[in-house]
Amino acid sequence: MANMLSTATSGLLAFRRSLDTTSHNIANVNTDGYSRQRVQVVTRTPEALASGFVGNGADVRTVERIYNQFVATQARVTSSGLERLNVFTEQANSLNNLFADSQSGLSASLQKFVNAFQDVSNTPASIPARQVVLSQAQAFADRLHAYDQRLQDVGVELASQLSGEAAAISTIAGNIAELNELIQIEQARTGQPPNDLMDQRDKALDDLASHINISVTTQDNGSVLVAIGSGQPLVVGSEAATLVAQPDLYDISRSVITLQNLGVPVDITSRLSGGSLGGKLDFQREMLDPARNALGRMAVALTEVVNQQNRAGMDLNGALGQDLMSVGGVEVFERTDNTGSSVATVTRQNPSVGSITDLDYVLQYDGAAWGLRRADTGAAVTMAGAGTIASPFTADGISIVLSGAPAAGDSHSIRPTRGAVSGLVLATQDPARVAAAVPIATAQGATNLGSGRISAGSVLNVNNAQLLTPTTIQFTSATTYTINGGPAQAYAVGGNIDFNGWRVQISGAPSANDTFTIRPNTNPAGDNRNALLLADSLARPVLDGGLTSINAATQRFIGSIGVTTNQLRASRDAQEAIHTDNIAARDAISGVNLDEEAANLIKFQQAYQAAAQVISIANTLFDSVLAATRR
Amino acid sequence: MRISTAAFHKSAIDGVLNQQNKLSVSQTQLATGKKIQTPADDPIGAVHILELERSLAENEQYGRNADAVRTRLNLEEQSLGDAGTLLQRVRELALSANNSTLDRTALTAIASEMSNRVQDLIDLANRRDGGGEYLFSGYASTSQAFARTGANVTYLGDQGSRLLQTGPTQRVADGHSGFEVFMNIPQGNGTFFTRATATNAGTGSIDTGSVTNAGAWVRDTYTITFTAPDTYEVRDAANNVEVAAVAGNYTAGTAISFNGVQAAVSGAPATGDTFTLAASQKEDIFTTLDRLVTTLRTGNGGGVQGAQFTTAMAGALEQLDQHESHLLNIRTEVGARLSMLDETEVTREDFSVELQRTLSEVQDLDYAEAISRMNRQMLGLEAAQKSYAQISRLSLFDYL
Repeated sequence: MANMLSTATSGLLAFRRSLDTTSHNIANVNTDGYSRQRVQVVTRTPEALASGFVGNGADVRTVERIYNQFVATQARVTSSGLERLNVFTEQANSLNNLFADSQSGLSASLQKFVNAFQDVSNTPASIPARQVVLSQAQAFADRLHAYDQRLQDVGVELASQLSGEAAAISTIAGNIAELNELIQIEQARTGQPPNDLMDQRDKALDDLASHINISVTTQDNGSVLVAIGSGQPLVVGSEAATLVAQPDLYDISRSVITLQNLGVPVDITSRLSGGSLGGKLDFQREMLDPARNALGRMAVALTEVVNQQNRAGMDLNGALGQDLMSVGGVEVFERTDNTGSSVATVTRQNPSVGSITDLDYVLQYDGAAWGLRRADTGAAVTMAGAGTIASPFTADGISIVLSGAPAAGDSHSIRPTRGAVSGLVLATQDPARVAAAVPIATAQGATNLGSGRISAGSVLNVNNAQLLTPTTIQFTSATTYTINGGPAQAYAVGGNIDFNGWRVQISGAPSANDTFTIRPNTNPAGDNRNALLLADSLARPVLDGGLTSINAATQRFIGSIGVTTNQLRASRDAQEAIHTDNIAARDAISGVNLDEEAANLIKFQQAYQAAAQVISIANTLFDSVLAATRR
Repeated sequence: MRISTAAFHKSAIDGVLNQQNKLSVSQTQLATGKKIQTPADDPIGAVHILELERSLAENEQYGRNADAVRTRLNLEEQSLGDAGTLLQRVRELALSANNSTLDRTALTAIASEMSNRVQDLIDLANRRDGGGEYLFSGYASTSQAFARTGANVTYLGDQGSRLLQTGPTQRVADGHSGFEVFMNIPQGNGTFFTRATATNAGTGSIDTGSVTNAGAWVRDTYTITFTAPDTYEVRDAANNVEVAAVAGNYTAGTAISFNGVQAAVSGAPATGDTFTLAASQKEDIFTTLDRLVTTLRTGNGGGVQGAQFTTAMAGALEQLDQHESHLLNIRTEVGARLSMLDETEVTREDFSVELQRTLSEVQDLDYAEAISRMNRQMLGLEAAQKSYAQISRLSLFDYL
């Protein structure tokens, strides 16, 4: 009887525990990271009698959580990837929207600029038409400025977010370390798994994974080891390292992520990937910086092409053309921990437009020689020259002069186009300075007898000191001519005659003694030759060694932002589908289903009632025995 | 598979959100009428749109350039027409003056009308376009083209002529320089011209002559000298004899031929009288007219002076012909340019229509498709919302 009573009591206790756990499950139906729990009930050791083993009831062995390490890890890994793509896509979308409007965009603005030169070629003497050139140049510059400023703002915002990310990661790492310690203690104390603490830790790991890719190793004592990047330990047992955003060693306006453990902080920025931090770093590296560089490259190309052609012309005042625009210089940053005293002065080559890239570079001294490499891939870039003023290093459209004494390991960061847009301004506000004319004018002699005609002429080298010296080409016979009384030269119909930096062609059949003169274009108001060339030059392929026009580069740039964003959206959607599947798989195992719990409630309630009934029957039996013996 | 309660709610809500997202894309497309909102929606299409819009803007600019050329060429054509009429009038005046019955007063009257015409021609050559630029100054379009300095009219512009871009590869000149139009015109018949020496004592006059064999012509200045009233010889500039003096070789009105050209002397030249037959150089219209005015003012006194008058008038009329045909040539050239502009305008407009059509194809929304898509999506959203509302109401707890 006593046996029956204790057996029933054991059932009562076990079902009570089950009901408790069910209610715990119901209470946590909406708790993030909660894994449903189940009471593991086992039979007690039976009593061995001669007639056989008699059961002694049930015991609660443990409360276990339903959790599959493999499935949970899968979900955690895909959440890192998804969060990276979410952040990256969101940022890319904002860039994509920035460049969305085709009507007011770069390409349209550039075409308006070209058209303004065409209008000047229609009416070169008109000041309003020239004013439009300056206004359109200003409008194009304003547009670039607006984009560049927006990108800069995004960069600044990003830098502040980086330190926020670092702080968040450090906090979560601290939590995990604390939970590690608690779990270790509780497990040692009770010998039972502290399910809810373990859920909390798994939730913290999930949170951490949404910030950054992690690798988690569970150790024998129940604690986990968390590593980030390429295996840098973040949490070891109850110790957590901290991540801190610190100023970049080259450019203090930028941030790098350092890991502070015991020794010196280590810059691990380039090794981090995944999660929202990885997404931000990737966006900065793969989209933001290249976009600013590409805009800068456009500004450089435009300025160089326009200035070069304007310099080859003559303005409305009859003076040789000057620069119409100026552009920001090359950004150079000396590494703050350089030990030598080397100073790098970097300029763009003249002209640089054919070879300049939208890349960043690092110039480093290895103790014997300077070497240049790309900042993104680290690939070496071959330099010509010696790095002196007389013979500067030249590579990819830039020219580098070094001074001071370098120490091994000294390095400089070079960004050829990043700052170009900020410095993009009009060099003149005077519409007369648009050099619509060519500096020389040609004429045939008034008494020429032959049918020879001279072309309007073009300028080959505006720097020739003799360019504006009046020159006479005199035919000494129908087939020979002299220039300024020089040696006789054979006449070729329509052939180029190059002299003093200009080029003309004479065609037809000149007679002996016919003259043709080349003189300064003293009254150039109606001359539009250089305006036509200016309009042409903007449409000419000048970039990438003469393969890409500025307009094509603009379209390619906007296209590339579109392509990247489009791909990111697709990858994000794909990753989301995978992640949703993984979460579903995890939840299928660990999630609470209320219907199931309701069924369990009924099941355990009935069992509990049955066990109670057993006690009541045992009591009745006991009473029966008592009543029997009272007689 | 087990479905956890939280996952059920989440996936149901995700489904609804997803439908709403798609619906919002369709709605934006319908609101803007454009398929592509941002480059990422269709990167290739977006870049295509940029290029099409650029081409359209460029094409439009070519149209504006062509309009500018057309305006100036029309002005030039007008001026050339006026100049032609003016020369016609001068020619009529010269013809009426070339009549021995007119007395000196009548000639002077003609001379003064003609001198007014010269002034008119200078004014005409100094015409400006709507922008205040001189039509005939070449590149020096802001300075006056022609001015009278002393006895002569001089050209102050240069020989440039402006080309405008009217197509991707087509450039059309928007005018001619004054040098080309008024200055650079061949003298005489284009090969040679004749003059009587002013000091001739006889009444011989020379006609304008003609070219009989262009291949035999040698450029030079030839002098016809009468060694006797009935005998002449012809020598070149180096004093080489071209036609030897043979006594009595002169018959009034019979052509003197040598080196593929001929000219006839008529009247009675005196011994020692000379006539020149010189290779053409260039002469401007103003010089011709000025000389004509001087000839008319000098008058036709008959006799020796009358012979000079006859020679001068013959030369002047020939030169006027030369000028008129020169102006006509230039007008023809202007006309050819204008008709070329008309042709390219048609091509340009066709191209523009084609660009617009392509642009519309790339960027404009197919409303029928978009509306039916939106209806489908609305249906989907409604189904997702309703099914969620219905299913989420089911719970075992309701039966406890």
